[in-house]
Amino acid sequence: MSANNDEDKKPAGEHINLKVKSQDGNEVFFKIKRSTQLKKLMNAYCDRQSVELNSIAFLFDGRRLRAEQTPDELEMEEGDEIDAMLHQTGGGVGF
Amino acid sequence: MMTRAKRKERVRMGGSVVLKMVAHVVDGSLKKEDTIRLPLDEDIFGHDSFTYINWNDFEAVFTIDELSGAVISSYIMYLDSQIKAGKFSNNGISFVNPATISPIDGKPKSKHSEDASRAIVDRLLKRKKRDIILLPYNPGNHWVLAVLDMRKATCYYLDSLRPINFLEQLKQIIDTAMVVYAAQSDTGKVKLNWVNTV
Repeated sequence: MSANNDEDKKPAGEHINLKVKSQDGNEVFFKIKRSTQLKKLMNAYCDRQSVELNSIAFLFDGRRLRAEQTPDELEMEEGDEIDAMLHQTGGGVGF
Repeated sequence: MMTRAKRKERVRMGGSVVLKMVAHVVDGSLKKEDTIRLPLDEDIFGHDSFTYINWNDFEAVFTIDELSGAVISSYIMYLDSQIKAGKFSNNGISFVNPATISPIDGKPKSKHSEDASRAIVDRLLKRKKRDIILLPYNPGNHWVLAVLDMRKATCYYLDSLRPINFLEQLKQIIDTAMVVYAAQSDTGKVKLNWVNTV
């Protein structure tokens, strides 16, 4: 598996610390395996905030994260920040 | 509610020259998959924040469609810069981040209500004597605005749809925030006078 090769290249360890930043200025830290799908982090974050997964967009490097992507795939580095943004829309009447 | 398919049929507002110009610039410089990260300075909402604006957000403005929180926050960012540049005579305005007070899934829960009140208290404590506080609130697929005047102990409620249940929701959040604020700031208890602006 390629994961084994990556481990050989990166003696720093197979885990990575990531920071999820929300719009209220709060930060939550996660430690996950570089080869683990980010779905795990997203679910954990939403559980913690008691919100539905689809009500929050996770963004990294200006791109929306997909649940099946991994830190390895995105070439994330130790301490990288992920933004968690709320979906909100609304209109009025009379236009 | 507008579905994405219906939205495609909507035409951009052609009447406004300014909108036309902006639409032209956006079309030329922003790809559909692009997002722009806007850092929101701590002074704007009393805490560090950010928003992402994308092609859909601009399109919603051009077609007069439902606006995202990103559009509201960007507009507040603009107003804040205008205030700082001295464009308005009244400088006593502060803003509350709509993302911190609106229910996340459009379903108000008691935890949301507490968090929202907490966010308002934090804002009041850091408002630096700017005693008119604008609170844009999204109860789910709709935007309303509360304008809190601390000097007159009055809160105005602005809602183009006027359903009373949103007023009750927001009233509970803000009234609770005022009680906690009074305790934390050593100011006397204030009973807010609510005005439903129609």
